[in-house]
Amino acid sequence: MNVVRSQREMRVLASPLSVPFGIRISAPHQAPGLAWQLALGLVLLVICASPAWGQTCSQPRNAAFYNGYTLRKIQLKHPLSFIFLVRHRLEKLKRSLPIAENRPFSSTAYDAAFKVVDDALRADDSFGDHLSPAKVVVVTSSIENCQELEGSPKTVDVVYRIFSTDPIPAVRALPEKRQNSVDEPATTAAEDSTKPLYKLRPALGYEDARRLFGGVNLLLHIPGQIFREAHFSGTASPTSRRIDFQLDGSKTPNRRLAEQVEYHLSYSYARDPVSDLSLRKGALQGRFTAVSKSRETSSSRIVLRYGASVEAGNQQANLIAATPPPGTITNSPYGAIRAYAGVTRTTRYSEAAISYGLQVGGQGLGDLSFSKHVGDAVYSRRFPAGTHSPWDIETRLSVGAIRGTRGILVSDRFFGGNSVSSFIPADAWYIPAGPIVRSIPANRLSAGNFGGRSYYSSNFTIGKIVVFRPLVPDEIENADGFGSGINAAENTAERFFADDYLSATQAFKDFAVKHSRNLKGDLDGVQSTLKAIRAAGGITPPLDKNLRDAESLARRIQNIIRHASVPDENGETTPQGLVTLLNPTTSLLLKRGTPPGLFAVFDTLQPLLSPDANSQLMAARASINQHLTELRAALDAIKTGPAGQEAATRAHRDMIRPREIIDSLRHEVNSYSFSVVGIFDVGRVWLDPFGTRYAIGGGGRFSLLNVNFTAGYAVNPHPQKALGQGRGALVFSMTYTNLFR
Amino acid sequence: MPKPTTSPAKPKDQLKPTHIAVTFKIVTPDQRRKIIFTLVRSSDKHDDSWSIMFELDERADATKPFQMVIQLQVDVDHNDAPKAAATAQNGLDSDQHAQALVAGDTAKDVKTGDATKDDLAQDTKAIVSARNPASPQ
Repeated sequence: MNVVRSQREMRVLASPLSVPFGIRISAPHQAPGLAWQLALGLVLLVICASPAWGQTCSQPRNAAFYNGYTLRKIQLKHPLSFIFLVRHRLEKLKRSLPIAENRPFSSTAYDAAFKVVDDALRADDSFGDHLSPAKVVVVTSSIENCQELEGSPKTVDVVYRIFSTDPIPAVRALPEKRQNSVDEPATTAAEDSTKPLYKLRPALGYEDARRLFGGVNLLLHIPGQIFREAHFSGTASPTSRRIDFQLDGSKTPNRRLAEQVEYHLSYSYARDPVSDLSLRKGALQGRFTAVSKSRETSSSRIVLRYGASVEAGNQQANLIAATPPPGTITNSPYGAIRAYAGVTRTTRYSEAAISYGLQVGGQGLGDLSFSKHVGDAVYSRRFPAGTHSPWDIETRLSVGAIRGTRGILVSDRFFGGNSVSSFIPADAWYIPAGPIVRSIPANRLSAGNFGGRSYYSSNFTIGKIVVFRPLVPDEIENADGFGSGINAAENTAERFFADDYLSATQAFKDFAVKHSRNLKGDLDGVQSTLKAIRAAGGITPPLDKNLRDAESLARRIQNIIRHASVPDENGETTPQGLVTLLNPTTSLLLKRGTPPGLFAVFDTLQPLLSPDANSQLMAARASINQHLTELRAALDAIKTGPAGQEAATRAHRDMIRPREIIDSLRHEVNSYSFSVVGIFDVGRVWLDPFGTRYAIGGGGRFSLLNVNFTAGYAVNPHPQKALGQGRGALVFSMTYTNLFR
Repeated sequence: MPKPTTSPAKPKDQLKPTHIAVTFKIVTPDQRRKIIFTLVRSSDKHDDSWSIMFELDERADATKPFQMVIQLQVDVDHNDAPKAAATAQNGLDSDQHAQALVAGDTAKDVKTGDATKDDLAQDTKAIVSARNPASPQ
């Protein structure tokens, strides 16, 4: 939870746009606060666009050829390097390398530098390591832009290209957490690691209704078991005041219907202009929201959310001339009890969410006189799959109604426009509490000045990416070994999981125990024979050497058998170890060549031993061979049987999502993109004498990773100037794209 | 601004890195064992050479931090270079996985005196050699 988000949940007015020292934008269903990152990204992209040096290297794989050249430039190219935290780490890493710019190039130091880079990236788990069942890191090092011509300074560049499957939280968090990452993607990633004690941030922005406003946001991490964070935000303008204070806490019951529970205690005050009125509302609120464990299928995940809140305070409206509708209370105490629930289903290319909220409210918690119902359904989809320039659509249907004939507070009536407050104040979960029509400034769709008692709105947005830069550039994607390395890692992980699942079955454990017992008996016999040979004396140096080899191999084989069947101090066994005894290339029993396996040592020992000793070893060998044959047959049976098939199926299922993530990162995610966008809205408030309202418009959308910044204009075909409606309204929004399930 | 790209680079644009390191880290489904395996290919004017890094981390309880059991780096025999290349191309197969686990156990045995460092080096080097001929090459 953060301050920006809670600020958004106040009655939001037209097209607010706010960032520290910049412009702030907010819209009906999106969060503000990212423009500085966008600006930073743009600046970096421009920097990155500087012309390449453009020289080719005659011996790109012969680093020693360039010894003595001047190292002109060292580059570490990481897809997420436009994020401050990543860039900062890369710069720090660059400074630690044994090679340096403007110094003579040394192939020895260049080789050492690669190890430094690889070690650092492999160990860097700051971006969600604990969430990953499998992680892939690919690092390449190359010599580029060589200036080899005589008569000019001989220079060379060193370029490291890095790919890691650890994305920032924004691209794979749970839906209810994504918004936080959308708010502040770079800082969210950083704070996951650093957790500062406090964060103070100025806010400055402009809205049509609020005019220019400024203020401050403060976050404090507080000690204690109940609440962990405190948020304060305050902003003011000539027409408005907003103050929020909130304490946040959370628990993780880890139950099916309540994997995580968040609870909050807050106070908020707002004075906002609404049409010709100025509404004031101050309230103390207690609220909780719970999230179920996600239900996973091979293609989707479903999360249930629900919560409730209790709120009490005061609300006031300054009546200038108009008379409020019958039963409408403009100045009174305020009380409300809310309950809400929703389901979100995400697939790789779509997201659907349905939410419902019920409120009973009135002039205090002891005088609840009306009920309010809101419903919201959102569906978004990208198509076609597997492209960096897809189309995308988002549709939203919102409805609401107030039931009751007396004591309906004006602040609870429905006001609409291009920015609408949330039914759940100060929460990331957004259920619009009014109709969204983007051609009408916020709160100007109001059935007169006092809001409506029911509404509906439907919104349709379509976009198409027309300019983009892939997150993983072609130069990395097509680098020798890159694609195959990813493929290898995915295959490895799937096989690891399958083997692990199989070895954890009782059938496999029984198999391991049985065959370990057989082989252990054989090896015990071999070790006894070797001991007897030594005890018999007459050990020549060649015999001693071969006996030591045999003793060592027998001991190592016994270790494998022991680990396969006897639990260690953690209760773990390694039954798969028995499989290694069957491998003719590496088996400590069967291996030929150097160093040899036990049977090959038997062959060497044969001329050095007595017939009796030889006979015993040959008998042991025959028994071992027999048991290996049985082991092979049993292993094949178990692998091709139900247990093996189930393990393979389960492993394949486990890897579907990691494969999707990696595939999306490589073939769909853009570091930035620009889209054209079209919008169409229809909505109505009752009793509005002007009927159904429309918005038709378009604009452009700039996206940074999965965070979208849209600006456009929506035309209002039938403006009502008396209600402050013009020919249309600017449309600003910040959204996220669901890149992964 | 860099020119947006819409199609894969042509083969002539393919980079020829001197070094490629592919690392895969896998946490076993019971969350108690983490294996990090890195294959590094280094090229010079003559040929390619391969090395592998193997790290095993374990923990008794999935809620506790991993403790490193062993981290080893060994050079791959020249004769095994095709298998190393096949592994980098297609991943570890089940036989190599089993051999990796044996290397992990041997690492623990070194600590208890039941195995030698030479045993461990041999078992680690065998991870690449253990590749099954029936696996993709």
